[in-house]
Amino acid sequence: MVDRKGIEKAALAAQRAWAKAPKPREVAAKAEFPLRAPSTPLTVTPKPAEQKLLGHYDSAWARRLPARYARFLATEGIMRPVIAGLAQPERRGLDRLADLDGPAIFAANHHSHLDAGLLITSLPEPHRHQVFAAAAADYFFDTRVKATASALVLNAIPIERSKVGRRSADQAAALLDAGWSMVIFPEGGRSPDGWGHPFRGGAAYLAIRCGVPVVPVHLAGTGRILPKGKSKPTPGRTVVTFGAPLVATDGERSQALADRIEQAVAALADEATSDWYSARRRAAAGETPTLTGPQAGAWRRTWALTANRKKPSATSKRWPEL
Amino acid sequence: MHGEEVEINKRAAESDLLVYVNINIVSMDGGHKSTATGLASYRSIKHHHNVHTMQHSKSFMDRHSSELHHSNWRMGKVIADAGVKVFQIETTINNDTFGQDGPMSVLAKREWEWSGKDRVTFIGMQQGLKRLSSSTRRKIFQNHRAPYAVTSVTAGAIEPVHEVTLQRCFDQHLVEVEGQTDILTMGLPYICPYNVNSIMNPILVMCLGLGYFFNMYRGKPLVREGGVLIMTHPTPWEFHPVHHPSYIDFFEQVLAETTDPKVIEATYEKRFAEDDWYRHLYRTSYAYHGVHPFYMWYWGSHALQHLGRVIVVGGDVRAVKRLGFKAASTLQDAFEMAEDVVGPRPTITHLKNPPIVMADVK
Repeated sequence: MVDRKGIEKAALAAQRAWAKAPKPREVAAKAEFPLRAPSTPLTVTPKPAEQKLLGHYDSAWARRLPARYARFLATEGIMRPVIAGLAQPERRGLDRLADLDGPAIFAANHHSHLDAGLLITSLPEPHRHQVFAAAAADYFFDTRVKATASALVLNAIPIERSKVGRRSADQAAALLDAGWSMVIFPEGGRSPDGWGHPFRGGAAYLAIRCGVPVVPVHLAGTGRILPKGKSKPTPGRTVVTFGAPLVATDGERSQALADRIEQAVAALADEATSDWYSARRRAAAGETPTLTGPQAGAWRRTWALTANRKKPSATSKRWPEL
Repeated sequence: MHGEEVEINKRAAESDLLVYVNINIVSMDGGHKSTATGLASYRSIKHHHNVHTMQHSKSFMDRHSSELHHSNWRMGKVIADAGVKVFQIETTINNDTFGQDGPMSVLAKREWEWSGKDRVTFIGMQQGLKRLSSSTRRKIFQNHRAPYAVTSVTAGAIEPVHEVTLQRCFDQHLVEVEGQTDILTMGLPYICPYNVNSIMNPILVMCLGLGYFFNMYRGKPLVREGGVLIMTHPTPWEFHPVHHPSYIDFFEQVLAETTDPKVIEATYEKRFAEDDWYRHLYRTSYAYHGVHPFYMWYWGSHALQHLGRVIVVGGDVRAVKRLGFKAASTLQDAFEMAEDVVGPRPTITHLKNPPIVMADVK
């Protein structure tokens, strides 16, 4: 009885104290500058707000030590397990990177938002934690939250897709020169129908400018897990195939190198859907299927896409176990 | 004709060529004032460093409207006619007191352009400084090296060189202001020309506010005649005994009796200027001249004549009263007090520093 009275008294006292305590909303309403944001005097024409997003976003903070530690934890502790569960990646061709020394540009085809995460988590050390991603400024850097998350998790830098600017190229070149590897999707955007777009020259230009090799990479299966236009992923299997590094030859122009990168990725796609020997024979004969698919009607392209899928082997199960 | 005695340093007068190197932080500096004031004796300086001259220099930052400069120019011509050859090198610097980076940079930015980071920096700095002694605070600020950059170097004969220098200063400092205001507010910084590595005593506070800042105008003062000047400064009752010995006596003996510059000049100046002890300290120690605090007071005499009231926000009440001003605890209180003088709904103009700004009042 005595105890209950004591508890009631304490509760009453706590209630009173809570009622008297200043409420956060009241405190915020009373706050003045500098606790509250300043107002511009009426007689002053405010300066146009400095553009800090899109292509102007400065992601340098994401390469400082605290952010690198945070990214290490996010990559190894969150991204890798999530990708492993969602995409069950099979990584091929890592042996082709055995002689890769120093920074490189990893250029891959692009079907899904999963691609960047899948590719980064598939990279061998030391590239996995010494890599930055070239991300579309208009998509990944249009709000502060998205920009911060992209910079922190993917170490992304903004790349302008809609206009030509030196800023993005200079920033990427400076990072490559500083020893960072780069992940880029030269198609410039996700595939809307499963087929690829022609490769743009950015990756090739940077490879020539900085004297670094380009590693062609093919990602298969992400388009079925999280295709463009869908927000809910469907778990599935993926194959990540790394190709042999390509080095620009003397006097090679960036478009020629871009074409070589596209052909290399197409050959890797062929390898992923058939086998290495057949893919090499077709490549030698110049008969590698293109990444962009047949120039025909939508239904025909979709049909060709499903026909391209690797046939299940005789040992794999044809029907689910019921 | 003007009865002005011209007397400069003997070594300078007898040299084949006098090379004068000057940094023009404000438009008051340089020209003939360099030699005619900088190298002159008390006997010579007193002809322009006096209440009458200062009250007729409107302002002393505008050479063509400054009686101080007219007198110096007359003296400069006498020096030139006497055969003293001067090679004048004048430099101007930019207004970059606190730089673009680092915690101090927030102090030079416009408050309405402060980012969240700027506000956090400022609050942190404010709270940190509150917990430090005044000597530690002084040490922190006075150890700050401004990243100034040179904007011009002009060399040659005094007058053409000075014209270029003035133009460079005005290019940087002049800001057009439409009309005068009822109340002028200003925040005084921790330093003025006479307390480098030293204490900004109450007399220097008066000189910086009513002398230098009030006179940062061309045309008309920023505040109307009979208006109110509100400055913020702690105004501590503190003096540096080595650098400012005569200031202590000026504050204790002279200002305790009167703050009227004319009475001070007539009654006390000569005694302080010719005091053997002050002369000894000036010549052999690190002290300013005995007459220096008088000149500081005269520097504000035009403002004292022009203003209806001076209010110091946050100042030591006793020290502010000794200066003849009113002390207020908050800016809001100061505005209330000012309304007694200028009436309700006054116009208010704030003079922000840094950077150094000179108002071109239309």
